[in-house]
Amino acid sequence: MIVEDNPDIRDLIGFILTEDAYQLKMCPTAISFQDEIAKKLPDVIVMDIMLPDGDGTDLCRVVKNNPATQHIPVLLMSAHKSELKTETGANSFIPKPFNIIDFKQIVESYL
Amino acid sequence: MLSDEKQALLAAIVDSSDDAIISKTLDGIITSWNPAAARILGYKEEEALGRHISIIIPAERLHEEDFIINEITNGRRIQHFETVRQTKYQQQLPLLLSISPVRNADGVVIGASTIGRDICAQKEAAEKQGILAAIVKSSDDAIVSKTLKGIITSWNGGAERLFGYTESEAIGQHISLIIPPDRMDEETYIINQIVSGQSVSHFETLRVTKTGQEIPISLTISPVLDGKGKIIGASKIARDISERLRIQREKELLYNEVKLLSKKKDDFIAMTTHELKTPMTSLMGFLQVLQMRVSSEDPNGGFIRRCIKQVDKLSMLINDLLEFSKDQDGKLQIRPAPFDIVSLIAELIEPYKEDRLNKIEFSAADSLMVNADRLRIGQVIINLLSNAVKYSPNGGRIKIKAGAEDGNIFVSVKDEGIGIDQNCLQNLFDQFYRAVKPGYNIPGLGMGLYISRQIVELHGGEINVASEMGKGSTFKFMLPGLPQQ
Repeated sequence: MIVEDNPDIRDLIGFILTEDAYQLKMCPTAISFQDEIAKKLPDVIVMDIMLPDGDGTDLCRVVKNNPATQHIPVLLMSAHKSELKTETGANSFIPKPFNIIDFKQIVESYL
Repeated sequence: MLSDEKQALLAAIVDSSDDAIISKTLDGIITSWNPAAARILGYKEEEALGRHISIIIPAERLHEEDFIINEITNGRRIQHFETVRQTKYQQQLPLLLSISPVRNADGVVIGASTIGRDICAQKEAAEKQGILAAIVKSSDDAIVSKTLKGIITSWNGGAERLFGYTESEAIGQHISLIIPPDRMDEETYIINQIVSGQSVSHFETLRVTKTGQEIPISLTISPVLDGKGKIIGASKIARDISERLRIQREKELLYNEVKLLSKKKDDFIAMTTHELKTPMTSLMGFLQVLQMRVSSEDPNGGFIRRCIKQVDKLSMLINDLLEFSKDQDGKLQIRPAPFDIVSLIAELIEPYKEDRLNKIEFSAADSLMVNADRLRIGQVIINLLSNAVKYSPNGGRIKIKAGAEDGNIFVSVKDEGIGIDQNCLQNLFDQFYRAVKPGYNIPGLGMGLYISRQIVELHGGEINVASEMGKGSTFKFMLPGLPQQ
C-alpha cells in the first residue's frame, strides 16, 4: 500500500514496483488510507510524512498501536529527515529523492 | 637671677623650636642661628654666624631684603610674608616669615629677628587640593557631598548640569531635593552604609531633576572623613546612564529583530528545500526508469547519465542549503557513540575508487576508535574528499591519512589540485565563502567547509588547512581520541 499525495511520485513508485507484478493500492490522502486499510490489510505500507490531510508519523503510530495491524512493516518517506521528530515505530525511513534501485531493495526486504 | 633663668628658658624655646629663628644686624650680618635654621637651611650655626643674610636669599629676591630692613629700621614688624629662600645646597624652599625689630636697652632698633616656617608640605597639600578641586569642578559626572543628616555641602558643575539646580540653590538643602518620593528609603539605606564606613558602588536608581524629570543614574557613594578619621558625611558621584540604557534597549530590540528574521529565513529555506525535493524525486526516479529502459548501445544513454549526474548535484546543493538552515536554527546536533574511524573512511572512499582521474591513497592504523557522531563525521570526510576531487580538475593523487597524535585522532586529506591563495585561507571556513577564482567554473554554495568546521568544533576538535597555489591543499581535522585497545 502506497500513501503519497504527489501523483508523479505515485506513478513512479507504480513503475518501479508493478514491473515485478506486485499488487499496489494507491492512497493519495490520509482519509483514503484509513478507508483502504479497514477493507484489506496490505503486506507492507510505504507512506509519505507530509500529507494534505494528515501526518504520516501519526498514521504510522496508529498502525503500530493497533494489534490487528502492528505486524505490517511501515516505511516512512520524506524530503526532510527532521520531520521524523518522535518515535513512530516505523520500520525504515526513505529519504527523498531516492535512488529507485535502493527504493526497490528496501521495500522488497520487507516482503 | 630671675633674668638669667628667663634668658635660659627663652634660649631653650628657641633651641627646641621647629621654626627657623635667625637674628641679624641692620647691616644684614647674622648674629644667631637656631638648630631648626640649621636643619631647614643646611648651614650649621658656626657656618652662618657672621655671614651676610644674603647667603639664603635667591638672587632674584635680594631686593626683598632692602624692603625688610627699611620696615624694621622704622620699627615695623612684617608678618606672614610668604617667600622663597635657598639652602646651602641651592635648593629653593617656600617659607613663611615673621620679622620683628630687635631693640637695645634704650629702645633703639639694632637688628631683626626672623622666624621662618617651612611651608613645603602645606604648599603641596594646597596644590593637591587645587588639582582635586579642578577635577571635581570639570567632571562630567555630578559630584555632591552631604552631611550625615543629608544636608548638601558641595555641588559641582556636573551636578548643576545633571539635576538643573545651581550650586547656590542646592547647598544647604536636604538631599531629598533630588530623590523621587517613592525612593526616599534608599537614602536611609545609603546613610546606614556610610555610617558603618562602607561605600556603595554602582547603585543604579532614579533621581529627579529641577524640572521634575526622572533620570536613570548610577551612584557611587563614599564616606567623608575628617582629619581624625571620623565619618562626617558622604560624597556621591552620580553618572547619567540614560544613554547607556537606551543603547542597551536598542541592542535588545535589534537582537530580537535579527533573531526573528533569521528564524523566518530558516523556515523559508526549510519549506523551499522540501518543495524542491518533491519534483526532484520524480525527476530523478523517471530518469532512472528511462536509463534502465534504454539498451546499452543506445547513444541516448549518455544523455540520460548526464541528466542524472546534474540532478544529483542539484540534490546535493539543496541538502547543503538545508544543512545550513538546520545549523542556524541550532538544530545541528551530534549524537556521539564510539566507532572505528578507519573503517568509516574505507567505506566512504569506496565510490571514489572508480574515479580514473584521481588516484585515492589511504594509509592508517588498523583501527582508530573515536567517540563521535558517525554520520556527521562521515559528512565532514565526504566534504573534504569531494572538495579534493572538485578542486583537482586535472587529476592527481589524493592522499588520506588517519592516525593518533597527542591523544587526538586526526584525519588528513591531501590533494594535488589548484591550491588556495594564502589570502583566502583565513576565510575559508566562513559561511558562503568561496575561494574559487572567476576563471574556474566549479559549482558550490560555500557551505561545505563551514558546516564541516561546525561539526568538528561541536565534537571539541579543530580543522585546519595548508595550501600552495598550483601544488594542492591539505585539510586536516582532529577529534579527541578514545583510549585505544
